Amino acid sequence: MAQVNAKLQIQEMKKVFYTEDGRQVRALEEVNLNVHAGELVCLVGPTGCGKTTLLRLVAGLDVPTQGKILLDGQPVAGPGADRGMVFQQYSLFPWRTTLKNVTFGLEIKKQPKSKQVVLARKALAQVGLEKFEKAYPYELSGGMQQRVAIARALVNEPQVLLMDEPYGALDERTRQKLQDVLLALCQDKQKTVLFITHSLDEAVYLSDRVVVLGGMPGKVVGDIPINLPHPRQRVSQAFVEQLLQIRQVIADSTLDGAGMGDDKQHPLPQRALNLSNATPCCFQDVNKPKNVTRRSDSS
Amino acid sequence: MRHELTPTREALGVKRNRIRPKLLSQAGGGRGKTRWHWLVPFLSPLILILLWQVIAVWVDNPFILPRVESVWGVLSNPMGDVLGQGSLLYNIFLSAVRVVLGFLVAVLVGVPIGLWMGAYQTPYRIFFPLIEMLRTICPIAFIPFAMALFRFYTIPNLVGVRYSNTFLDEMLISMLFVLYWGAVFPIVLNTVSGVHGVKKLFVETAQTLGANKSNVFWKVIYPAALPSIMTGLRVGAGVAWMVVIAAEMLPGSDSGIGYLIIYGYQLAQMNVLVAGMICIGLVGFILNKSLYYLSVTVSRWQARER
Repeated sequence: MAQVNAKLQIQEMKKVFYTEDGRQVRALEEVNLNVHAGELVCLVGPTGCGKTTLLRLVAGLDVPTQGKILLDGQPVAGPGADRGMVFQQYSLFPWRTTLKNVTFGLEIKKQPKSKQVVLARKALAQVGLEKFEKAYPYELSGGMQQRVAIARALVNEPQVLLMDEPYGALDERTRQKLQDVLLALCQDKQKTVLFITHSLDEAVYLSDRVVVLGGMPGKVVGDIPINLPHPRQRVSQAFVEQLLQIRQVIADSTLDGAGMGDDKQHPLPQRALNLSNATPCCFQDVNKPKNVTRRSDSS
Repeated sequence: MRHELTPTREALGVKRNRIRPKLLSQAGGGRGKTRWHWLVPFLSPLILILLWQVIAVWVDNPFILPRVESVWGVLSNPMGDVLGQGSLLYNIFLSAVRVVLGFLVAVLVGVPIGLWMGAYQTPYRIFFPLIEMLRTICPIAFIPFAMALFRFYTIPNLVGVRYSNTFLDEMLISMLFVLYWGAVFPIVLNTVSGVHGVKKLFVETAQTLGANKSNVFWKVIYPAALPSIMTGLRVGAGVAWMVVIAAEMLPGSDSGIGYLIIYGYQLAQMNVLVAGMICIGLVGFILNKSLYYLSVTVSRWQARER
């Protein structure tokens, strides 16, 4: 089986939440997804389609109602250091300094103190914060806090890095800077990353593959490889075409009512892209990526 | 390489905030600090003393309101004997030791129980209603019961010694129990609410970094709840200090600052009475402030978090 090679396998996964008054909310249905070693996969899709749920299931913070999650062929049970997570919210421990935040995972592994500090300093240098090791989280800006959170996750050397819209609350410039930081880290270490974002621009810029989730309950409605060479140019023709292709997938999935139809993954839409008509929109996309998903959601 | 990892401008522009002791600067008001601004906190006590003296002279009855100088006569000689009951300082010392002992037991019992009840659902549901009821019983109301229960047992009696001929002979178990009773509930309740206030996000973050239950407890829940625990300690110590004075005034007590006050009243020595009251205020103030600074030191991060 070819699937055995995948680093992370999500098979036939289904997640149902129960509300307090006993109603069922189906968050994910029949999700199949393979992430290969060294791959950076972005998950996109409208709000409420279960992206975060999917990531939390992989992290082991929630338990799937049905289906399996395999890491290196082994089923995951509960949270663990092999799956590092960077949350959307600022999650640094406010009672620890930057350095102590980064050493948290190493302390738990009971590594010697001196080694902890060396590794943590190296990780902080990788995200460009070596000068702030004594600072407390409240002394750092949002972007810096997220960089520390990334360093804290990476210093643990997880098999898979899960990132839940880590740059969601940041401004465009900082966001782009941190995207480059992440790419640099991935190039060096051949990390396997599962990255949630609302920004299609971010997805195309970062990933080897964009997986589109859609519908209620959420399912995979598109799986688009991005074969552009790094470093990618956000304003290049090829980049914009990729962006539009993903938009098309999202639009199509909304039109034929994803989640109601067949369970197979949708093939790539073969529809020809009319670039000349779409150009004004795509520049809007680059600037305000969040609107794209929202609009296609409501249409 | 294109991905340069240098600190950003935004990063370098961040200022380091240091926490300053707020006592004087805050009272001094925001802008325009003069070289006399440190005097401001002393202004209102000074006016009060002045007013007191004016009224005392006007009333002219030392059995109702003693003059400042006669009270000062007692206060200025803290080592001297007061009405044959030992010195002022010794009685303050006895009251303070009682509070510290009762309070320490309350901390040793209250904090672990609070952490336990906060972290687990079952003990919380079992014991919390009981605690909610018990805590409304005023500690003073417990004194007769405690005296009946512990009679005149003192700390040396616990280890089988009748008299140790030290201050420990003054430490009645009944009184310590009442102090414990007063202090333990604020400590438990604040610890519980501190644990309940720990963000789920922090727990989950720790879990994805490989933390097991005991890691989560000691490295996340405990430090995150610490500011709230410290608040509990401050409130608990405050209650204990209030209660010790009242307890010392009741029959069965024969030492301490509260006893000195009631004894002064019985002998119509109003200056002793007022001097005792001032001592209560001063010690309470010092007690609260030192616990406040302790809590700031222990959870430095929290003062700036808000």
